Amino acid sequence: MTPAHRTLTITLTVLAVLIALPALAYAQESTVGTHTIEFDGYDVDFTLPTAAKAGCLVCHGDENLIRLREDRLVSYYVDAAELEAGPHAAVQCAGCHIDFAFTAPHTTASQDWRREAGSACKNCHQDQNFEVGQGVHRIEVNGNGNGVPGPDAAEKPICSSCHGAHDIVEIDDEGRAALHANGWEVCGRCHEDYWESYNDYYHGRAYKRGAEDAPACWDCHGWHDIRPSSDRDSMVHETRLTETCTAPGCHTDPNVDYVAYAELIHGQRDVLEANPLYSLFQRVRSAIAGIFGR
Amino acid sequence: MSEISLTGFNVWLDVVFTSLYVVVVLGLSGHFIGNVLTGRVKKRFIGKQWPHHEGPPVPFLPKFLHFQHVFSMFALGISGMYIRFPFFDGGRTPMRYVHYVFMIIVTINLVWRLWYAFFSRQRDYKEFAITKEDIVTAPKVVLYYIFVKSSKPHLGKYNVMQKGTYTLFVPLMILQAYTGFALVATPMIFGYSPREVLLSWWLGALVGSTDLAGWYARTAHYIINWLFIILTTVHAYLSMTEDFPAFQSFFGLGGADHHDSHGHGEAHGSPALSPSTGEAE
Repeated sequence: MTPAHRTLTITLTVLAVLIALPALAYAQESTVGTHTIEFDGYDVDFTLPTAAKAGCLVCHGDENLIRLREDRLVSYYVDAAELEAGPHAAVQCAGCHIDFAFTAPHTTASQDWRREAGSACKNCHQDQNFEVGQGVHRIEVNGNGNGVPGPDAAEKPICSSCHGAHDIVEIDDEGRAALHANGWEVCGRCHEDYWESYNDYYHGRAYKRGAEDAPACWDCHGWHDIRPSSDRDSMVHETRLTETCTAPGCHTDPNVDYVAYAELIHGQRDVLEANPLYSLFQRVRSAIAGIFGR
Repeated sequence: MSEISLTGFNVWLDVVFTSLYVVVVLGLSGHFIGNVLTGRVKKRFIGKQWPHHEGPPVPFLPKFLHFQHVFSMFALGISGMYIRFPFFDGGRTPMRYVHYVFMIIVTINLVWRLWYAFFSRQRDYKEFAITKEDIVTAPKVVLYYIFVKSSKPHLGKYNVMQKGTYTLFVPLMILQAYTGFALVATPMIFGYSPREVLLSWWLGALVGSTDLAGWYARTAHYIINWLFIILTTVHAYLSMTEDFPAFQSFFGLGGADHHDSHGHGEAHGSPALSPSTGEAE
């Protein structure tokens, strides 16, 4: 290689590097990469922000955001798409997680931050919160006037117990259908006995088999201000059954004799077991099973 | 109506009819064993000694109506039972539509068959008429079926039990159609539902509620459904075991050419052996 060629090569190389540098710098800025940052007490691996992630979702939009708690992996991932699709897309995270600030570590968060967030709905949905206060799901407070929750407060459901959290759906036709199909999640997993006994022909059994026109729990029992059937204001109090059964899409002209069928809605198993012929068959079946050692 | 009637009665219906059906199936199984032990099965299925038939072949139309009636009633039975006892997910709406479609087919079928029986050129209603002689000889028919007698009186195309059963199907079908339409609560007739048109003005007024009248209709519909299931099971069993070629013929599957009509016959032999009637099944 002649000196002239060498000089030309070096010049071109330097020029190429000079041209490439800004692009390289830009590329580095926009590339997603994992960095380790040391916080006091934290050792967080997190994903750098991109255009789709901002605020809390910088960290919580990462599917890998998990912690080991009491030998259990707990995910802190929040599905941004789910949030975007719901009615609360415009609500800031701290709108519900009111005890959080955009700091890491989350030193401002309360111990019971889940219940805090799950009942923060009341700040916007005041009417519904008032209704809940009338029903059996209200959190009792001590009678000393200081508003301290009673001892069973932790067992009481809060808004998110029934409605979910980040996956709350808009109550349009599609959302209503999704909610209607969700009876087990909303009520059944707590009220297992009632879920089990909801087994009559045209209501419970059909509902559990996905019948769109079979009533979900709240269609008869109401929502928010749910009351025990012994309460005269309950939708399922015997004096209100004819009214409850005439909900849109249900019965048109029930009278007192007709709504006596309501006993079967949660009581079909009991009525069946009280049937003498059925009991006889059950005994015969048990006896035969006994002969074969079963 | 008292509370126990509404709730307990529903359960009673299930328990009684399920038990009854088990009894019927066991009874028919026992009857088939009786057929084997008395040699009737051997004689018929191996010796090919089936009842002899006379008269012209059964025309195509009643066979066609019978075939689509069988198919439709089967579809109605399954879809109807699903509506009461849903046994798979997501089927209530589609099964209701299945029920609606076949109930219309069966209703048309019923009207068509009645027209055929009473007003067509080949009208055959007389073949189903129960005569005084039928009633007098009825015990002997029963004795034949319970293996006490080896033959039964042969008076016509159908024996008295067949005549009774087939005739009973007509009012049951009419009642089933009536109670079935009375279960439709969707307004579709000048703003009124079929239930209101069929029940409100009389039964609804009597019991004080259209819905309660609908409950009576639903209960009657369910009872008749079970009667159909039981009667059809017995009918299918007897038609297959007593005259299998006629059974085949009714479904267009051949069968012997002399089996132009179906009937439950045994040992009335050839016409020469039963000159008094000159008929055989």
